[in-house]
Amino acid sequence: MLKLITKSMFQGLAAVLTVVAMTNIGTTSMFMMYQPEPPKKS
Amino acid sequence: MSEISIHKSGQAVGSYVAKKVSRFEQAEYLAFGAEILLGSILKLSVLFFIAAMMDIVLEVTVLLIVTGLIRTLSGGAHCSAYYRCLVTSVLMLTALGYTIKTIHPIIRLLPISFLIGITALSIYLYWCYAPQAPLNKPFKNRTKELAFRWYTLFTVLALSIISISLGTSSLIAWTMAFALLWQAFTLTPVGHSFIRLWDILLTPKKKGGEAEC
Repeated sequence: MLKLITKSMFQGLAAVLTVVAMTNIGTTSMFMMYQPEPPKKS
Repeated sequence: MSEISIHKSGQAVGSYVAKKVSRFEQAEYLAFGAEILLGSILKLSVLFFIAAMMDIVLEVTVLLIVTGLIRTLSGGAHCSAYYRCLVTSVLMLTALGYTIKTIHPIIRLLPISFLIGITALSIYLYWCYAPQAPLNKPFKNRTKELAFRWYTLFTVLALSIISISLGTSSLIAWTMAFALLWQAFTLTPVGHSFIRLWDILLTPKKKGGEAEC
């Protein structure tokens, strides 16, 4: 049960990080003044 | 030093999450997302802590929403490292918020033409300079660039109309107008030079050409 909860939690976190990465690759800029190097595959 | 820690923390979180969900091929992608998320959380925490201390939370919130929304579409000058961005952003937004709060009793007496003038100047600057993609993330084609140009102009126009509708007596109206003007300024050559100057000033060791604003 605990394993399932942990796995779901990390799946959720991975989804959040993917959305953040995707939205930042798809737009011109972060909302402040620094732009980290995007992944090379983007 | 701070740049390394945020970057490395992002890499560590991304790799760890990728390992946990068995998506090793997406580790770089997740690390990029983690770096942005961690950087944003730290930045917002510092910004709102200082804003609360200076009693300018409302002004800073409006400035952040307007500049953040427009900046996502129009781009603008960049600092070359995370902590320089942190210091520059916090300094500019709090200084702007404090100035607006201080001068509001005077500017609220001005005629509406001043507010219209500020928004009109902003729209002109966006028309001339938007959009600007970061050097490490250029537009893939002209169509996308044009789309961002029109998204920017439409959003700026909508925010200008809201600002003018609120009237000169509204603190939010003036904050929105100055936010539009500040963000437009960061698109201009003078704005780029200004941010580059801060970037150089905040660089511990002088290395020629390091700043990439």
